[in-house]
Amino acid sequence: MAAQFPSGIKVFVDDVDITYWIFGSDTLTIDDSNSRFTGIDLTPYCSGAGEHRIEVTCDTGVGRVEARIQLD
Amino acid sequence: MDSTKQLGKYLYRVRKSVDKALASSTLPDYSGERVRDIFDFGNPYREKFRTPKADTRVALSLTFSAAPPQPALDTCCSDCYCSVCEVFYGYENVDPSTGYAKFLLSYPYVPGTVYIGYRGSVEHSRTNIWSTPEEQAYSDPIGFIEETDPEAGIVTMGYYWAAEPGVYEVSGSPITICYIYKYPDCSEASGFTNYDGTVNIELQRNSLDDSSTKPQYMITWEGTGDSPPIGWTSYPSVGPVAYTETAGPYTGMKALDNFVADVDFNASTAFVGAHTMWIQVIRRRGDSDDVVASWEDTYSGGGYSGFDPNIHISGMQFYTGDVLYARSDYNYWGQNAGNFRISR
Repeated sequence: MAAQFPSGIKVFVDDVDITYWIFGSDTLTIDDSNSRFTGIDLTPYCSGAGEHRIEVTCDTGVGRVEARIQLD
Repeated sequence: MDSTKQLGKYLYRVRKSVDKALASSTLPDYSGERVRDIFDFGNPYREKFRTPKADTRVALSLTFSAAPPQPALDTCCSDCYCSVCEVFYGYENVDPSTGYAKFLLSYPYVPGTVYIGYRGSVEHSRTNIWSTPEEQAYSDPIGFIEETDPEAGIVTMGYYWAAEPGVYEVSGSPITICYIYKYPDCSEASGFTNYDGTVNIELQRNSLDDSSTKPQYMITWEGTGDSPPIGWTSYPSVGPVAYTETAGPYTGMKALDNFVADVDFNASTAFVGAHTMWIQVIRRRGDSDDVVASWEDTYSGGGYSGFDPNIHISGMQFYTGDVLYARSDYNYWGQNAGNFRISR
C-alpha cells in the first residue's frame, strides 16, 4: 500500500509510439534518480501545422506526472 | 444603494467575460503545464495541442513522482469514505477453465469506484468507471474488472481475449486495485456522501490571503458542474511592476469529499497596454501549497487586449479539506475573471 512509481512508461504522439526514439528503449522505468526529463524534442514527430495529440501511459504502478509542452 | 448597483454591474460584466471564455473551443497553442495527479494504467496523461506553423518547435518536459499519500486504512476519513489502493501479487482463486480470478479487498467498496492496473502476460485491463467511449478507443481493452460483491469486498478479473489463449498466469506481477470504501462504524457522516457521479464542493473566499489589500469575495456554493464566476481587479501602484507574491488575489474552492476529477480553470482577462501576466492554480493541503498548473503569456502591443486562457488538470485527487485556488499577477493595469469547472 506504500506509494510507488509508475513503470513501463510509453510516449505516443498522434498515436505513434515514439518511446524508443526519445528514450532509447521500448519502455521507460523511473526511480528517484531518474524521474525528470526536460526539453524532449517532439518536433520531428509533429508533422505539419494543426492539431496534435500526446499520450503518456504506464502499465503498472501508481504515481503522478507533470507535463509541460513548450511551443516556439 | 449606489454601491449595490455598482456591484451588480460588475458581476454582470464578469459573468459575460467568463461566458466568453467558456464559449471558446480553440485548442491551446500556447505553452502550458498539465498535471495528472493519479497516473497509472487506467489514467494515462493525454493532451491536445496545436502547432500554428509547420516548423513550430515542440518540446516536452516530463516529471514523474510517486503517488500522493493515500489515507491509511485505519483512518476515518471525511463522511466516512476513503480512497485506497492495494497491491496484489498474482491471482487468487484462478479458475483455469475461465481464466477468472477473484480478489478479496480489505474493505467493502462503493460500487462503481474500483479500477485496476497490472502488468502480466496480458497487458491490458478494463476498468469499469473509466470506460468512456474515448478511453475505449485509446486502450483497446481486452480484459475487465467486475465488481462481483461490493459488500464482501470481492472483485473478479477476467479476459475477453488473450494474446495466448489459456495463458492467464501472471503470478509475481504486481496488480494495483484502487477503490473507495466506507469506513466501518464511522459516525461522522455529514451529508456529503454522494458518489453517484456528482461532486459536492464549496467555493469560498476566506482568509487565504490575509495580507492582501485587494478586494476579496466570499462565495459559497454547493452543487455539480461549473462554479459561479469569480472576478477580481488589480491596480499595481505605480506603472509596470515586478511580480510579487501578494499582488494577486486568491480564489478558493474547498473539497468536502475525497474524489478524483478533472479541473478546468477558465479565465478571461482585459488589459490596457503591453503586459505579462500569469495565473497559477494552487492546491493547499494542510499548511502546504502546491502549484498544480500554471499559465503565462505576454502581450507586447498597445491599446486594449486580453487573453482567454484555459488551464486544465486531468485526474486530480482531492482529499477532504483540500483547497484549490487560483492566483494571478500581472505587471500592468488589468482585470481578470475566471471560474472552475469540475467534471468526472
